[in-house]
Amino acid sequence: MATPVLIAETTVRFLRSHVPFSRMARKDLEFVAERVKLAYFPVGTTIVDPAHGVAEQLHIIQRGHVRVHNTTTASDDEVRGPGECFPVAALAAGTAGARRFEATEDVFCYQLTREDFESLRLRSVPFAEYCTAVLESIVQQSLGQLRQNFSHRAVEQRTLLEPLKVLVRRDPVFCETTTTVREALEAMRQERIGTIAVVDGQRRPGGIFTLTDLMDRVVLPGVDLSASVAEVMTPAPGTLDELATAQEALSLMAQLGYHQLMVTRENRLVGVVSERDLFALQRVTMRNIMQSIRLSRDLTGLQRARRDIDALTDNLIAQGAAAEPLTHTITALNDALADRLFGLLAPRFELDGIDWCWLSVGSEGRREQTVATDQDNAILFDCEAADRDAVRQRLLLYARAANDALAELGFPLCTGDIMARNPDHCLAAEEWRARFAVWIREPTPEALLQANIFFDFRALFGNLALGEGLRNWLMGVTPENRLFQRLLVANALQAEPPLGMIRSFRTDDGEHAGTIDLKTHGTRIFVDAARAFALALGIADTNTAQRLRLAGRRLNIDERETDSAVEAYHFLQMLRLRAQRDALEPDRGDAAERPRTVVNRIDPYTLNDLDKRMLKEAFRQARSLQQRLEQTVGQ
Amino acid sequence: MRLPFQRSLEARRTRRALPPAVRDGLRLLRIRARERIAEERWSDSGLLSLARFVALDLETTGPNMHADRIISIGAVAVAARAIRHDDAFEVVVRQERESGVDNILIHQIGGQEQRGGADPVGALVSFLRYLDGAVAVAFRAEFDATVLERELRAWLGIRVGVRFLDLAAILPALLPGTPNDSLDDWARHCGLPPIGRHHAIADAYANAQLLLIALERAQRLGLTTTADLIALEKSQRWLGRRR
Repeated sequence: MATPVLIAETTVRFLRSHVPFSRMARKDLEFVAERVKLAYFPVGTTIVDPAHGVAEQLHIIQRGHVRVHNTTTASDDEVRGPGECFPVAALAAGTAGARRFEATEDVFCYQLTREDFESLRLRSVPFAEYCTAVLESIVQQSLGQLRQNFSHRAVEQRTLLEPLKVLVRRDPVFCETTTTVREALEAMRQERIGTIAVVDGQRRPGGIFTLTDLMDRVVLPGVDLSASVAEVMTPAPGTLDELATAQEALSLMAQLGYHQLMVTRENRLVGVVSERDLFALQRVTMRNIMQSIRLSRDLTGLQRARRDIDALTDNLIAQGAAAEPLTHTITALNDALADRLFGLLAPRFELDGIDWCWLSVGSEGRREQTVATDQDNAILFDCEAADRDAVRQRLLLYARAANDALAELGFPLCTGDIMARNPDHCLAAEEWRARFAVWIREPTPEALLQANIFFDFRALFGNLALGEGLRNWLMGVTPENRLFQRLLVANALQAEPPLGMIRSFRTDDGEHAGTIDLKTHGTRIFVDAARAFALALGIADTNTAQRLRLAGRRLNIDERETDSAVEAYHFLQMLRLRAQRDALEPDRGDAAERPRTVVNRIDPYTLNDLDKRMLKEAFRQARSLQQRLEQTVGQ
Repeated sequence: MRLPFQRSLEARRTRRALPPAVRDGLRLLRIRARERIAEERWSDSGLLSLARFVALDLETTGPNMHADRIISIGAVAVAARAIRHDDAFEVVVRQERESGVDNILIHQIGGQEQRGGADPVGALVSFLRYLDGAVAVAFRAEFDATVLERELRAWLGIRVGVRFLDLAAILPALLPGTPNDSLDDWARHCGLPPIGRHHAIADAYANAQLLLIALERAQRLGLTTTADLIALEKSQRWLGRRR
């Protein structure tokens, strides 16, 4: 018989006031309400114990509190209260889990069988996302709650700038170099795969063996199947670190002519990506825009593409795309746009024989462009010392045209004149080095504040190797300079996360009373800290998230801590993007005329409860990142 | 003056007057009841941890168990020591004449709803089918037991002898030293959030939660079967009379 309305209704009402149920459709909540059982556990009872085998029921705490004991690691115990679920990860993974749940007082739990849990995951997207987020990281849970809001869309919006780590879904199938060909083939048949990775004793990739190799190197030459696979494999396979982007993987594949790459972490094999995995990433809309950019013959065509980019961005934000893929998408499209523009402009100027490249600095250099981004760029060239000024003059003519054209495309001129057309920022390699050397060897806090964004340079157009050379030189110099590092740290510690003593947030007074500047008091803390880490540790990457991840790895910091910091940073970026989009004039004029106000302020108390909680957590993460920086680099 | 056997004659007349479909239904229930005796888990020697109980509450037209009629039945099963949302029962019984205003105020079942309820014969048969021989659990069960038996006889002409377990009797034994008296007292004592007051299904749900607590305690005290629990209830009632 159907569940009486009053029971179903009471249960639905209870569920609806808790995450993730608050996001679920009513019919799915009714599904839960009609299928659950209510069970009672007196204080001290163990409700779920890994020792009892595979988890069979989802528990939703209706009343009371439950303590979580980690049986594998000695981490702090955590306590769950009404509305929280357990053991989600164990159920979703179909394992016994590693955590024991014990009632710390008399507890009532709704129980859902594993079967119903599975159907719920299938029928409810928010619930499925919740499970995925829990699976991904249990510590990140508070921040993960935000991500579920966005991940649904974000899945479709994966870009080629995602790290490979995200793409590697299954454990690689591999064998050791000493394996015989027969054993390798058997493993391949069992896994139904055409390619097997070959690794050495330390699990470092040593080669790759495919069915084509079987024909060419085993069957036809008549090699014995008991020979070792090392003799017939293709040695020196294409290898990339898991933090490299899909874009880099594609170009390496093209370069080497391989269809698969080994993905490594600390040089050990963690996965294999194929060309097909990567092509699946490219989305139609983004590809269409890329296409139209490439086919544009003049500024008008590019302006049209620019409007498309804006429309796509607006769409993505409206749909709630996650900040990282979003900023990556904007950057990738803007890069392509600029690249095409520079290519169109170049023939009109006498640049033949000049070895130069266009540098993006600041947020563009970090691949973190938001909607309202003004130009920050520079030029780097290489020539004989005697010709320097003549070359500079020729490049400046070009730069002026390029800066103006970019402005016409809707990237406002930089108010601080940090642009390629400024002779101060159109420098030869030696001049750049001398300039960086001054900042590094005789740093002053004021000068550093100005110079900050130059350290985030990235070569965009021209001879990219020049930019790489400058970066490599820089990475050799900065880790040696303690004074410089200390000042960087001091700079990064200057801004204070606006967490209040009395209310949750410390808002500003005066002109912007009641608001928080998300950039100065939020994202900039992460950006500055990431830069300090990167320069102190010699990390070449300019992207904030990547810098944090690499630094975390270099310093042996728990990956979950790094991930939490990255999540927090992206959450703040997301709020900024939302605020900026909301501030854009709804009436669409020409891209150039379109007002692009930089809005970084929000009133935190107008956010919904979840966002408020997340914002608080993000600021807490900012604070702990600062502390971490002080402990590691600042000493 | 009453003739001897008058009551059983009346009951037989009632049975004869039932529509054939209902009579077939009752016959099936009787067969089912006989089968059940063979099944261990239904007998009293079944383990508490596996047994199915039906927590129930009746709303009646008044406080007189010998005269007032059933307005509604709310019931929810407790099996394997959990309340089963998918094993619950609720019915509002049609009244020839709605109960007094005072009563409507208490039960919040309006005159219209009462007149529009289910036909009593059908309601009682489907309740028996739902109960399926389980032990019924109520608070001050004597009231519910008396009303239910009387109504079964009046409408169906049968004696079922539904077994009742009285929470008001076993709770003080299992949770001694707590001077609770009413269902509300106990609910408050155990921190149960009320899901709706004086509504049959709400009180049945509260009964079910109290039963979960009681079952847990009973097991800790070494009671393992339904028979143990019934014996405990009997001794409590006996003590209660002496007091």
